[in-house]
Amino acid sequence: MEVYAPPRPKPVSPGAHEPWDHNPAVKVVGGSAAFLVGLPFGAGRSVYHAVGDLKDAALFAGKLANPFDPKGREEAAGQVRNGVHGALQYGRSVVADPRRLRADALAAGKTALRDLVPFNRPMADTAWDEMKREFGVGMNDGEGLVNVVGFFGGGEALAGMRAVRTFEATRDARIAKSMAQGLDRKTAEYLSKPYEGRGHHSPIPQRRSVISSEKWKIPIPPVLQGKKIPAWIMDSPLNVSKPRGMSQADFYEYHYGVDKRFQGAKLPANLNGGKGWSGKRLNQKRYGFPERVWRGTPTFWKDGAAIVDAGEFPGLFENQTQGGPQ
Amino acid sequence: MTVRPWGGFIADFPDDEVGSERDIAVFGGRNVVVALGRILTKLGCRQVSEPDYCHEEGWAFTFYYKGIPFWSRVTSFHPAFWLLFEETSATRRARKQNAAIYNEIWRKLATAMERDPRFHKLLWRSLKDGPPDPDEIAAADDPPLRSFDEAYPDSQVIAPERRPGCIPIIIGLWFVLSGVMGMIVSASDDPHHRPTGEYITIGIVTIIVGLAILYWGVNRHPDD
Repeated sequence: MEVYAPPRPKPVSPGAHEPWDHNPAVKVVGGSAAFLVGLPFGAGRSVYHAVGDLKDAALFAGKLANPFDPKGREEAAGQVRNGVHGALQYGRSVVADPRRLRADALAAGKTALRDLVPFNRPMADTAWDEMKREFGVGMNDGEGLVNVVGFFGGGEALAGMRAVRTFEATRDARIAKSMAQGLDRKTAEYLSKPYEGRGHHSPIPQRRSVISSEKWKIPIPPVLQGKKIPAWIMDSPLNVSKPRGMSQADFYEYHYGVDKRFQGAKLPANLNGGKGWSGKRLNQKRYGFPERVWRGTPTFWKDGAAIVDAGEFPGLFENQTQGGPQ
Repeated sequence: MTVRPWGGFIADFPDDEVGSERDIAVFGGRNVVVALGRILTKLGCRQVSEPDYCHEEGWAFTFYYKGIPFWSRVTSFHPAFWLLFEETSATRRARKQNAAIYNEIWRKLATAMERDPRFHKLLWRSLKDGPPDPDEIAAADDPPLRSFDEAYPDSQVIAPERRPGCIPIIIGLWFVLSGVMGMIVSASDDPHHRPTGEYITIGIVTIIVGLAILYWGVNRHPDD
């Protein structure tokens, strides 16, 4: 009788994977893919670190302001003094030797080149090591990209605040713009007033305000079935985009650009021949998909991105000096 | 058959806008919404909601027909009006399954409005084309040269929905892969082959975000 015996594994000699694992083409393809795959993870890491930094900052501020913990206050104040002292010392050393600033900037540039530019170092021995390294570079770039987004979010917040501050001063320019679009002066003046409507709903549009299993064809707890999403969520700043400092004309143009279901609005009967405002008639543009997502995002989230960026900034260099996972 | 969700019409209703020649305090169209709600109730719709004020966008309301929720909005350009009549399914599968019922109630409403002497010059447009301009509505034939059934003959064949673009699907998969690889890379550097707590958190969140984008990408309406 024959007894079944599993086949003996062939002995694996060291370097058996060499044909592909050490192949430069495999390393380049694998490394490039790993770099791209690392970008979203880096974006997540940026938010993770920023949240941590913000938490630390809040704890520090609490410690600094706590009247019931004089020791902790003194400790925190000491940290502030040390920080200011360090910055002043650095400033003095730069004044004494301006070459230091150049040397430090060059060193920071070199570090950034090493950690942010893919394939700028000799290739690792194996494809897997190369992939790991490029994944780390991708993560660093992902973090950097989030900072850029936060920068734009911050820029938009500043631009919005400036628009609010200069609203009255720029009124004539807004009237001129509407008239250049073909509207008469009275209509242009009416549309130059501050926008006071209820804004653009995003990410949950108004038409999706009812909760129903029929929308997803999945079971939903009976307690939720047929209920409307409460107004305190639907109409909250988390779900309503109403950029700061916009006139009615600005907002109608904006709304037409971001929402395919906003086509126009009524104006008082004696304006624009009773025809109302129509985006199509005024040849307004609709934004493409990525721009629609960015512009349609409520100010609350963009301000949040800017705050995350501010929270990330103190930890930026600390996180980016490491090419691989931490 | 494909439903044309944008309607444009003239309605013999008093202008219920509140305001002056200089400003609009409350936009009009509420009375039209109430009238449409009553028509829909007679057509077998249930749970017709109270009109919801949407400022310059007009007045909206929700209702159910054969258990499926619908959402509708009327924008006033008195005496012309726009009607947006939508089925609100969130997934491709649900839209496909609800398409016949959506078509049925749209046809019923359009026919009822055509027969109702208060409504005239009814025009229907696709989501992509947008509503007819108030001038276009005013210039339409009354009565129309072709009835609704002649203009939009009923058919049991529901036109298949176009496929939405694949970019969100690619982005979703990219995030999922990133979350998985981040944890693998972290585990490979650990002597016990375990990813760090930080990498597990980021990895799981990245995977969840990726799955959400993927779900939305697969199910979004091609005209959204």
